[in-house]
Amino acid sequence: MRTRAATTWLLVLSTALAAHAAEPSIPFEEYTLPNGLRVILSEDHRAPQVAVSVWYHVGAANQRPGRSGFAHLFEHMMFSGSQHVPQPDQVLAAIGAQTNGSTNFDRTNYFETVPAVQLPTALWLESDRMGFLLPTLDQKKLETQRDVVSNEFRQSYENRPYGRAFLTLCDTLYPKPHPYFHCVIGSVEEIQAASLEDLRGFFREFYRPSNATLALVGDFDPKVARELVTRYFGPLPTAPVPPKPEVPQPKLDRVVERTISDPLARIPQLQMVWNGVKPFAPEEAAGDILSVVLGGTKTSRLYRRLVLEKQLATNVFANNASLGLGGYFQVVATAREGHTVAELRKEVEAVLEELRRDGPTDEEVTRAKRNVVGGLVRSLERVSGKAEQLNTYAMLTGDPGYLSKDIARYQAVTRTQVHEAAKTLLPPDRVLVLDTEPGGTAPGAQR
Amino acid sequence: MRTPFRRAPLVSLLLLACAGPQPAPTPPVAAAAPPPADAWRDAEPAPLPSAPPFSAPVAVVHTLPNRLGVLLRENHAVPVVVVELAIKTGVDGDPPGKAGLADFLGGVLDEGTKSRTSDQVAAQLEDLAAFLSISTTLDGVRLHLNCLSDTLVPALDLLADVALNPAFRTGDVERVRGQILTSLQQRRVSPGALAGDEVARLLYGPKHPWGQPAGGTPESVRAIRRADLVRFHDTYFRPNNALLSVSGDFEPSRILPLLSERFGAWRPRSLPPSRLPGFPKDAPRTVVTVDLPEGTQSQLALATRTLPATHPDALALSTANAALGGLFTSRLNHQLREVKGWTYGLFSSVAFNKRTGVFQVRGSVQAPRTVDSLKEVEAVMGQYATGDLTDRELAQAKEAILQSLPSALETNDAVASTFVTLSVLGRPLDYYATLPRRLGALTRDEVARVAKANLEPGRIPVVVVGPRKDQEGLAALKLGPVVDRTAEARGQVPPSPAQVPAAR
Repeated sequence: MRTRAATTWLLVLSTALAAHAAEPSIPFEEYTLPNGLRVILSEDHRAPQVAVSVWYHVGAANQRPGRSGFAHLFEHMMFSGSQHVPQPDQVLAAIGAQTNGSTNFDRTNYFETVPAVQLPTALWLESDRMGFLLPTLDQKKLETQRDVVSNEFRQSYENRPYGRAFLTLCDTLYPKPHPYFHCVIGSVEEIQAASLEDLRGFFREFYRPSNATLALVGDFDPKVARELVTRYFGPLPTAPVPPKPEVPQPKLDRVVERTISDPLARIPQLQMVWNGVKPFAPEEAAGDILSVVLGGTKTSRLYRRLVLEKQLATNVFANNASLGLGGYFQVVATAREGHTVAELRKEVEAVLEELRRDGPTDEEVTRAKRNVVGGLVRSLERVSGKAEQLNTYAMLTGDPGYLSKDIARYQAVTRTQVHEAAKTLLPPDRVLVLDTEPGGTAPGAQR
Repeated sequence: MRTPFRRAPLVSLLLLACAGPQPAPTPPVAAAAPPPADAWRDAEPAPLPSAPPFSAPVAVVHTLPNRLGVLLRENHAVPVVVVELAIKTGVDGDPPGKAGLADFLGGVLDEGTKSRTSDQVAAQLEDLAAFLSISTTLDGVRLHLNCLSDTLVPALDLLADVALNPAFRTGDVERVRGQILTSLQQRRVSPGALAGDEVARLLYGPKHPWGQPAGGTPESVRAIRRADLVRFHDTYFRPNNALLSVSGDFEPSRILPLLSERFGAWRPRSLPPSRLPGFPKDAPRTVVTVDLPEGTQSQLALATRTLPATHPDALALSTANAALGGLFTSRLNHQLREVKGWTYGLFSSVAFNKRTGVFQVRGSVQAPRTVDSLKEVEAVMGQYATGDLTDRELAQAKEAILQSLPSALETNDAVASTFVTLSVLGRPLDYYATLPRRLGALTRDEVARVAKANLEPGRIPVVVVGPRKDQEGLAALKLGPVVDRTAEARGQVPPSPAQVPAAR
């Protein structure tokens, strides 16, 4: 166990945005239970509430071929009841908790913000589904959640304009049998094929104390919190940390062009996507700054050129998505009525070529750093935001208190590094070009 | 940046207005010993000894000599100040034939002032690490500034300049117009947007500005002239029609002078008398359909006007709604999602604006289950409207509302906006501070009575946006006459004369 010296994050913001950041951090203490559960405690007494967040280091990355969408389906099962807490939603509702869970490419989290006096109930519930999910898992629960997740697929992808483009992005950058194939949501067929035995095996493999972190942020007495954590999580059995997934990142070796016919799109959209990096890779910070310079704000290069000057687009953005098995860097531009993807592409390529040739200006880099650091620090205004940040750093860097180093990482990015990132991360000859075109039935024409 | 896939759609707050690589190797399954006997886990633990209750922030009120109301709340927890300047006229200020004007104004306001270009406004805000967002609502235009406390002065300068001295340069106006026209095209194939527009028409009527499609129609947006923007601004952007709400880390002795220096010379002027048409009278129930053959889900909505925010039963209604469909565990979502598996989530809400309340059920369901789902919603609501609310449901609803407050009022952004909302709705500024007491006093009988009086589905119009082939059987449900609005909603017929502006 170690306790970090605590400047409050109040200081973080002011120092972070000055050029001379000192050593800001979120105050916290951490320790590990004998069974391997890592516990992070951070007091915040502004209001009588506690944010409880459990991260399991399992996501789409851990799925086997033919099991797309499985990690996310499993997340749903964690709300279906465990041996001693058969109706977790009812329990949480009765104490007025705000709760949800989420799955991404590399991790799954379960979180609730509860009244401070109800911390025991939150820990009772989270420990029960960590240790006692299987005894009550049955076919009926599985069938219901397979349907719910299939509905989610339709609502969020199939039945939403441009929803299909993201699936094509995953399928092209991460072809079968890569576990990112079909993104996190997966395919309806594969979700429907999941069996009870698959669920049981997945739980035994990944849902272990040693593969999880528990963060508590809020209005608690750390002595009481420690006793409660020991009481509820201490008896859970020990199992070794599961091996990390190791899958080579497929690399684009040429320009790949795909056209998507989207019946719910009326306006063409361009996406240009490059192979990206892993979280905290050496190029990540410069890549993030690059994404802001390119398309993060109203003064960004792409916004100025495509939206303000040429008026070809209504909207542009750039995103440096870093993922555990290798991420992607995307530029997305949605046309203005009457303009085409070909026009957008020509202009995006011109902007990229200038950036590769001349690099960004000092002013652009400074502004982008402020944007990134400001966003990082503002996310900590909420106890739930702090809990997620502590867990993020714990998983990705091993140090929950990495915030100050993370800010320093961005502050240290130079103009030269961003220029270099533009050349190495966005090669013109190894890019996926997605062209979403309005497709299917002509709107309203079918009677 | 990572994309989460949440297990459940986010439910809106109850009260605040609302090839090649190898697959991963299979790790060995550890032969872990079964957990020890844990009978003690069967009982839910008792809560900890009580902590001090949450006390919701209450605004301190000032009025500047030009009648500009100022709402203040000091909070030194973080070095951030949020300033929201609210204009108390929004879409309700759209003249006939100019639907979308207030939204247009909101879109173009920060695109340049008399002394700053669009790009300069954006660059100066970014240099301060400040955010300014402008949103147009049915009853207001809100300019929301979030800045660091040590940049409050220059950030306030920018806010005041954007609010008071917009330039509406032709180039910027035309650029924004093109963006709006593009987004209106996309709205015509977006299930949620199509349903929202039909709901608005049913709630407020085709002649009321609030009954128009959100953002206007292509025809009305093309008809908006620069002079209309100038006139809207000149008419409604007046201190006597505005509020300044400030929450954060400011110096109490300095804040009023800072605000006065920037907003004190703003001249009041009386507003023109409102000539808004009345809302439509309760008509027999209809089922409005929009065919979206491309869809694989159907977007369902039931919506009606209900009690206004200041009605004595408004809190009981919000509580009744929580148990019916406001929470993940409430009846509608439980039945349609957890029992039937037909949706990712189906919820109801009660929201308020300055003239009325709106009760609404919304959800996206499997297209082949469109009719079945409506039937189920009808059954759940019909049962609920008999007044069979249970004590357990009531307790959950109350806790949900009560315990969401610390989180809902956690940030300065939320507090500044909430002050404005309370004021616009005509609720007392200590509304949330007194909420625990008022909520505690609500009895089951009272909430059941309000549910019976207001949530009976038999008179609530229905909107269905989805593939027509899955709408067969709708008429057989006998909910009311089925009205097909596909052509109008999807922009296939010329607008009715009421929507065409007179030549000027």
